[in-house]
Parts: sequence; C-alpha cells; structure tokens
Amino acid sequence: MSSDIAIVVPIYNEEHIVKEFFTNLKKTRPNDTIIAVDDASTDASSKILNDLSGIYLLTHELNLGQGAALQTGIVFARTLNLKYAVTIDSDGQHNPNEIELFEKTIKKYNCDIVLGSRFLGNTINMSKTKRILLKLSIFFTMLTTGIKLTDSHNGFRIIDISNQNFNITQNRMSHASEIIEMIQKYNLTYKEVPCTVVYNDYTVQKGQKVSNIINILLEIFFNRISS
Amino acid sequence: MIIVKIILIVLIALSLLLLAYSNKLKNIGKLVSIFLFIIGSFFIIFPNLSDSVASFFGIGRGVDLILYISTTVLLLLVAILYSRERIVNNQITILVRNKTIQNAKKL
Repeated sequence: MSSDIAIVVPIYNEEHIVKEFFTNLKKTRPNDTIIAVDDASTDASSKILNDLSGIYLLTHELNLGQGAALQTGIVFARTLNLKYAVTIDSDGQHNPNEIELFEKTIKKYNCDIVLGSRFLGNTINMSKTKRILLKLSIFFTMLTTGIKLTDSHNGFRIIDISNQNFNITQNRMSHASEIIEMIQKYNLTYKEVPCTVVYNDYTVQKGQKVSNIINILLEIFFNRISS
Repeated sequence: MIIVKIILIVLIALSLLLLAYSNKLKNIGKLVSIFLFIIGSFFIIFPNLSDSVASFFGIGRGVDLILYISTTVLLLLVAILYSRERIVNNQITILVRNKTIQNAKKL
C-alpha cells in the first residue's frame, strides 16, 4: 500500500553514489513515492537515474539550484495528492532509516514541519570550523526570526505540503534560511528530531563549503531588501 | 585636446542615444538620457565650468563632482540591473519547473 509521503531528492552531479542511494532508499521506504529531481547534472547521474526503476524522475533543463529542485519536487508531489514531503540529501549525509522518526513525529503532533537536528542526534567526523559556523547560523537565525532551533541548516526534514503557503522561492542555498522564515511568517508549527549527519571526503566535497557562507548571507540580505 | 573632446562627445552620444531609442526605457528614461547627453557634452566642451558648479556644491574640483555623480549613477544602475536579473531568473525558474513537471517520468 502506498503511503502519503513523497521523498524529494535533489541531485546534482552525484554519479558515484546515486545508484546506491536510491537502491537503499527504495529498500528502506518501499511504500513512499520517491521523486528524484535532477538539477541538470553534467556527469553520468542522469543516465544512471534513467536506468533505475520504481521512482519518479524529474529533470531540470537548466541548473537552478537545490532550493529550486526541492520546490519542483514539492509542486510535483502536490499534483500526486501526497500530503507530506521528506527532503533528504542524496550525497549519503543522511540516513533513510531515520525517515520513520520524522513521519511518526509529524503525524503524532500534527505539525506543519519537522526539522532534523544533527546537534540533538549525531555528527560523524564534523570539522571544528563547520561546527562553529553552524552554531553561528543557529544564533543568526534566532536573531532574525526569533525561532530557537538546535540546528537551522539541515537538509533533512518532513513538510506538510497540503499547506499551500509552503513554497521555496530561494533557488540556491539560502532556501534553508527561507524555510525558517516561513515558519515565522506563516506561524507554522514545528518540531525538531535528532538525526545523524555523516561527514566523509565525499559529503564534504559535495556539501556546502564553509566559505560559501558569505554567498548565503548576501542572498538572504538581498532577499530581505527586495521582498 | 579638441580630438579627445570630439571622441568623448561621440561616445556618450552613441551610448546614450542607444539607450534612449531602445525599447527598454520608458519616456522619462529617454528624456533623462538626452538631458545627460547635453550636460555631459557641455562639461566636455567647457571643463572649467564644471569647477564653478562643483564649488557651488562645496566640492573642490569639477572632476571630483563628475566622479561622485558617475559613481552614484553606476551603482544605481547595477542595483536596477540586479533586481531585473532576479525577476528574469524567477521567470526562468517557473518556465523550467513547468516543463520539468510536464515531462516527469515514472521509471
């Protein structure tokens, strides 16, 4: 029996891990609808994805960014009348086994969004600089939105997408901050659950560069003054 | 000196006329471009006059006044172009997203 959950996975140049990731995800969550959004990958990801089965594949013709890919997946999930969307990174940072806890929490508390927190859960091999910057971003989020979280920039979440207000407009990386701003703006109910985030050579190389924080701050700033 | 002046006037005339007669600018923008052309040419022909205008505003030299104005105008233009770019990007996003969803494949 299929569930009311979509798992939205944005993909950009993940040829080394994409097959293993989706095979594992399908095995772990056989009843959920898996939506892969290929954000115009330039490597073999697209070819590998096309050889998979049992998932929906959406392909951006242009590279728009992770936020845009997530929103595309969410809009598509709405057309399938699914109530929830899980967002998860495809680089192997997050563990699909933990989706169950997200599902249980959002259904139990009937909230709009459940956010994963690596600081309530586990971090494996996180660098010191990364930890400091994440803590700073938590503080920054608290200052700007008044929302107190233990982890503000974690891509692992479950969202009640029947709430039509929930739309990501920040195409690039500052969508994580935008989601928290939405919580404040629309008074969304939220919970945090512990999750594991694994850092290895691959995820560090694929993930956010620490230096990218300047770009993210600028994006947020321009978004604030122009909205 | 006279050759430099002619080159400068031709250059600003070309760039501003190009702006004024493109469809990008509204009528007010076209008028502003023509006005800027007249002012610009005037100061190129009579550079000393810019000194008196500058001293009227309490700025030492005419060149400084022109530098300040140009910098401000350039920054303003960058800001306008940036916000236009954001609008265009949003439109592209919507187009790409709609097409992506239409072409969604069930594997």
